[in-house]
Amino acid sequence: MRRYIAKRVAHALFIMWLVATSVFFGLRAIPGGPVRAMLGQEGTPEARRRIREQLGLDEPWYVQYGDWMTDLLVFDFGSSITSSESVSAIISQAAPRTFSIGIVAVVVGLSIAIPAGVVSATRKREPVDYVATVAAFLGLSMPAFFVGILLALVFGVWFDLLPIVGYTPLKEGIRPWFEHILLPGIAVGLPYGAVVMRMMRSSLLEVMDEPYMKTALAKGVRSRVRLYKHALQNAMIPVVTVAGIQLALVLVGSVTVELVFGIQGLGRTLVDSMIDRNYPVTQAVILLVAAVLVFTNLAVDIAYTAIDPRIRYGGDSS
Amino acid sequence: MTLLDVRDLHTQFPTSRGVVKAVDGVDLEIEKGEIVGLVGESGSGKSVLAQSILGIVDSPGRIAGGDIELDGESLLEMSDRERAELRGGRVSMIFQDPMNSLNPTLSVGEQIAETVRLHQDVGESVSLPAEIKRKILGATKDSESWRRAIEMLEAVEIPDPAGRATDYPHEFSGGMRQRAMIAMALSCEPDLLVADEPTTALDVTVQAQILEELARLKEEFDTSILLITHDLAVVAETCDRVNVMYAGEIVERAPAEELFGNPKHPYTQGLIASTPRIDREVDVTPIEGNVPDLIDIPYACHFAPRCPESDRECFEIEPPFRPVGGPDHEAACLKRGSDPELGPGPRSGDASRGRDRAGSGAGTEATDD
Amino acid sequence: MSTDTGADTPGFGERRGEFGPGEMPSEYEVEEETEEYRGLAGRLVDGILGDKMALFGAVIVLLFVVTAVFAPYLAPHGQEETFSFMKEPMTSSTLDVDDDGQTEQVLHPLGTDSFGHDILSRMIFGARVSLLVALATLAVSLTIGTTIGVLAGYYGGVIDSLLMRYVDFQWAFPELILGVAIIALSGGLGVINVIIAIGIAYIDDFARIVRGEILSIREEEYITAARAIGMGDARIMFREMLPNAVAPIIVQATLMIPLAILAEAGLSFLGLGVKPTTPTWGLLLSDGRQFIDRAWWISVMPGLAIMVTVLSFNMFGDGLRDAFDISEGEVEER
Repeated sequence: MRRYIAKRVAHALFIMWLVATSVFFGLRAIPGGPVRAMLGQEGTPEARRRIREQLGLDEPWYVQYGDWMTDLLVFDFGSSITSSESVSAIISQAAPRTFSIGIVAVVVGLSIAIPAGVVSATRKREPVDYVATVAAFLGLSMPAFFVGILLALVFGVWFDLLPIVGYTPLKEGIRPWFEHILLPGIAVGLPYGAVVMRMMRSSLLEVMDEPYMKTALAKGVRSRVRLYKHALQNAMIPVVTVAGIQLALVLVGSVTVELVFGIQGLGRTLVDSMIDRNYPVTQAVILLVAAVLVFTNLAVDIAYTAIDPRIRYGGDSS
Repeated sequence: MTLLDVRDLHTQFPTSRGVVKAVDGVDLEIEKGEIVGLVGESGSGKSVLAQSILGIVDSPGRIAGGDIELDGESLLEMSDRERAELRGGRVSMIFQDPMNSLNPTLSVGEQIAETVRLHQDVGESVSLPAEIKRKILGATKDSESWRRAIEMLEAVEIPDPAGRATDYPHEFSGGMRQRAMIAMALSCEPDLLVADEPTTALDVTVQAQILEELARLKEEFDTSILLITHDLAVVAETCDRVNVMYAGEIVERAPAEELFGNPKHPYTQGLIASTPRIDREVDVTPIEGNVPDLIDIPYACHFAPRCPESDRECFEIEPPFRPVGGPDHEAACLKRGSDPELGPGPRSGDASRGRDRAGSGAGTEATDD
Repeated sequence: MSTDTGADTPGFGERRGEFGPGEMPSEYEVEEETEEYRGLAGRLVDGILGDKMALFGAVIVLLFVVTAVFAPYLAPHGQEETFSFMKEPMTSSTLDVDDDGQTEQVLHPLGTDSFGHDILSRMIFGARVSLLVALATLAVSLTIGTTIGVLAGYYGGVIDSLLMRYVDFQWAFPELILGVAIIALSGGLGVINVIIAIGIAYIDDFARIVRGEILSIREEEYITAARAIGMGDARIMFREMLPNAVAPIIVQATLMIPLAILAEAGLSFLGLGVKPTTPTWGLLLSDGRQFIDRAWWISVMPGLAIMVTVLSFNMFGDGLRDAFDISEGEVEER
């Protein structure tokens, strides 16, 4: 197991390195040079000089690269072009908002998806199953931002139950934080949950057909024990995979949903930075997003060791 | 003493194309202390028969007629609950594919211990919460059921049983997995063990070991065995008596030596003739044709279309069982064992069985003492 | 009792009855039901027709395509024509459309937006753009992804490792972020950039699936035979192997279109997508965002359109997959 984990960690780090390197070269590969790209025609010599300095554009490329990587390791992302804030400051303001949405989304999505999938599978072809399956289909066909708009419409405009604009940081109170985050979280969580639910259902159905389930039946194990003790853990393996992969969906969803609810999270930051050509910020967001994805997938890989004894205890022995 | 008595069993699967009659009127008996073989190709219905005995036929299959008696008690008249209690307790089953027949997420010891808990009085709860707790925290090592699990692993000759009990199935080799399954099936000292192709998925050398194991355990635990296989060699090795099954019906039954030395039914003869032999040169004669589709076979003897000796009557009249060859040997064929007194008649029922049943029946009739 | 002692029982096949093996009285003869061979298209049609959800999906997909293709003829008004502002669905504007001094009633089944555009018409034109963009991105990812997959699967070794490393790397980025990055790097908005961005983002799915197929096909005998007769590599790859790997590719393509529609909608919604004048559904949605409290239909209508279209492609793709009998694990979906 240790080898497995070590391999996965090494892989994750490697991918991160690749991402960082691509971003580095990507920026410098823009036709016309990064300075031109960022300032366009109107840049003052002053601004130009500042950027050149910041990016170290006068140095040989390998020096630039080294500086870049070392800066990254200490989380120094440079400063914004438009304001003089450090990029890290900007990001640390925006990131918690997006992550709050993400966490609520995952919790909401999974708490609906897994029970729904289990019920759907155990009551296959009954009305419950049909309803759940169609609902799941609908759920994954709607972009998160549309769900957000619908929720905002219903709960904000028509029924005025929840606020639909802005964000309240946790330290100002759990209740306001929660009220502001609930709708965006649900908006992102529903499509996510829909995908996971489908996998839960099909995985459980497959497991129930496995020979070892027949053995359990032949031993006289009762049906509920068969479901929860014998089948469920096996069925969860592909579900965990999907839940991990689709975290990308959560991230993307959060980014778009922020716009609907007027939350100044990473999404807003990213879009603004692109419109302003504030590339240091854009870079940082991209890196952060990639990092989150890579490391959550790593976490999923490690979660496998808890779920699948075959990974925990290596391969066949004699 | 008859342990298992299957009488005129019919197991069917309604499908969109029609009703598949997987078991079409089968009689089978197993005495205490016997190893009875059930031989047949794939498609003969032998697995369905086995599952019918346990009551675990996949839906939409259902038992449509006949009866199964265990020690005189009718299984089909029991409630579902009573039936479920028998499984793993008095009647247990092992399956063909040891690779996939053990749950990969439970330790081997736990899978055996679970069986013990379910059927024996060890004072441990089998409620859902208790079982889940065991799954998450691991089995309690000093419980009675765990102790028995280790005992069973020892009985099937798995080295280091205490250490191995905490291992997971993927850490066992194929042969060991099958032994573990046997351990699980015998853990409650069942009266009857149904073994469905227990050696088919194993290497030849391992096969021999497992068969030996089964024979030995039969003695040790006083369990009767119904050994189901398509492999004639396996049956010849291990069984006391053999039933040959074709397309949902039993066509011949005899003591093992008698069957192989003196096969009577054309199908049995065909099977044996199509088996290559290592010790002498023989022409290997295959049986032409394919096993029929089990949906409503319109003709009487299911083997008739492939039989070289079939006449018109074979297609029209159900062949009854008739004594043939040596003692305790019967075949259901109009071309064998003709006797003007018996003649063709209904397949099931005592009259045409030609065994001692009529005799013993008369003997146990109520008489005035 | 038995008159059949061991001695005179014939051995197998020694005695012949009236009907030998394989023969039987005519009244029992059953026609062997052979399944007629249905070509790929035939099987597909059967499969889809049999599955209600897939059929529903297929019909809507067809509707979508027809709408997109014939947009100019189907739309009641031009996409830039303006009427009264923010009319509710199923109401009419009363104004003088044709400059004849008389006012007419113009019905707006889906209402108008803040500029007075008829939403139904804009949506119909939007269908066109959505479909075009989706197809274009599909073309990009399919061709590049398939090529990578074929090369990786066929040659194996170093090429395989390299290509798969790239695929792995790409996998770390969700499509939208990758799209954003590419757009940022290419320095501009506009259709082409969006197509390239989304197209590149989905290469990994195709590459992986095709590679998997090729790996199994590679072991087939007819490939060894082709090599033995000296067929060139390229020919083997594209003439022999690829046609047999077509099924999962088609399924993936069908499932990719809705993903592309969603991705484009997302990008447009963020303001990073297509140029602001072409009314894609994503853009229409984004236009209406600020008016949710006053004119909810401006956003909701295009949103519903996206939802229905994506849903039907998904149902259709699912049905295709069942018809082709491909296991779920093989085809990646959203």
